Amino acid sequence: MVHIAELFTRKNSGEIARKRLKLLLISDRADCSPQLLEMIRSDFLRSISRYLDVRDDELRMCVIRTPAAPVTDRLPAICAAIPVLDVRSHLQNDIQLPN
Amino acid sequence: MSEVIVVTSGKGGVGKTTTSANVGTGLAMLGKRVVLIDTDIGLRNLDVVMGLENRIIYNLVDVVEGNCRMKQALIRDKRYPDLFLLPSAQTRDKSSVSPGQMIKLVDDLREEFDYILLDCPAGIEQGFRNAIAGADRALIVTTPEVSAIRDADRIIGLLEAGDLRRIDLIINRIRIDMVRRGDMMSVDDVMDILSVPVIGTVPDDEDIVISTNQGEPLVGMNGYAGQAYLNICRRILGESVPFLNPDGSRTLWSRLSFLLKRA
Repeated sequence: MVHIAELFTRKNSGEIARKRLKLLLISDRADCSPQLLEMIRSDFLRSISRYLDVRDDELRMCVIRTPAAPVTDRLPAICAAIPVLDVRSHLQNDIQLPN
Repeated sequence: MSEVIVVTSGKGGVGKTTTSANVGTGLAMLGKRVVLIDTDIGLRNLDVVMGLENRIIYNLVDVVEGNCRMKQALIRDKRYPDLFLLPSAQTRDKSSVSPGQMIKLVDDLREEFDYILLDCPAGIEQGFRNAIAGADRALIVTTPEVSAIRDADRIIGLLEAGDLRRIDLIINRIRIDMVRRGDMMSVDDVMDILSVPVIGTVPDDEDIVISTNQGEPLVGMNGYAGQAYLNICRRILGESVPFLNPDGSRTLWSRLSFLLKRA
């Protein structure tokens, strides 16, 4: 019976490949290790969570090559997208913007 | 006006040579004057895939070093009189030719031919540098595998730093049965990850093995792979050709004619 259960829970290997590849290309393009990226990711989440109520499981990160010309000056750019649920209301009134 | 196209991939064994042979033959089939250049010095293979291995007298290095004239080294195809092969040298290495020499060689051929196709060696070292030096555009061959796509991404990065007019992707060896059950990345997945326009997709088809065994490119033949290659050629010429039925199912007619041909 375990076999049948495995059949239903087994992740499709195509999806596994896609996820591995995405992470791999982020680190390849940015020329940094996956561990470093993971650290950036968690620090980013920690700092943004102080101000915004976010879905931390839906953070998407990618590295693009900036389209600026000339091509030889192109640098990798890290993009992050995260769904914001709400601005943390208890902070809204307290934040002092620097003048 | 002639166009110089480099067929490259980074990773080895994804189908660069087969693609070069079929695209070159297909362009000749469509009435263009084409020369195929095997730039894989030391590991030549395009001659075998084209079925022209018994006709080699001079090679690319002989031309570059001035041991012979270009005309003496070019081998005319068996079926298409406007299709030629410039074979690679088997007993030399990649350092026998420089990027500057390749640019000159390719420029000399521009007057005679509509399309100059360069079959690039695997890797990103001198062989690759030589092959891309004189190219106007690139066809990147990849398969739906993590390693091949990773290498393709690296190649795209290197090519974008050069001055190519255009970069297109060919996704090779797709197995639609595996894509359907979720065990292979789909064309959309690969497009999404690499963000380079896809100019064609080719199925993992045993007809390709058969055609390579025979030394006769299958472009234009009945069957999904032969038609897929011909469509790529049409798109290279600027035609807008709809993509083939992605489930790769053969019509009854093409099945029958395939069986008859083999009988």
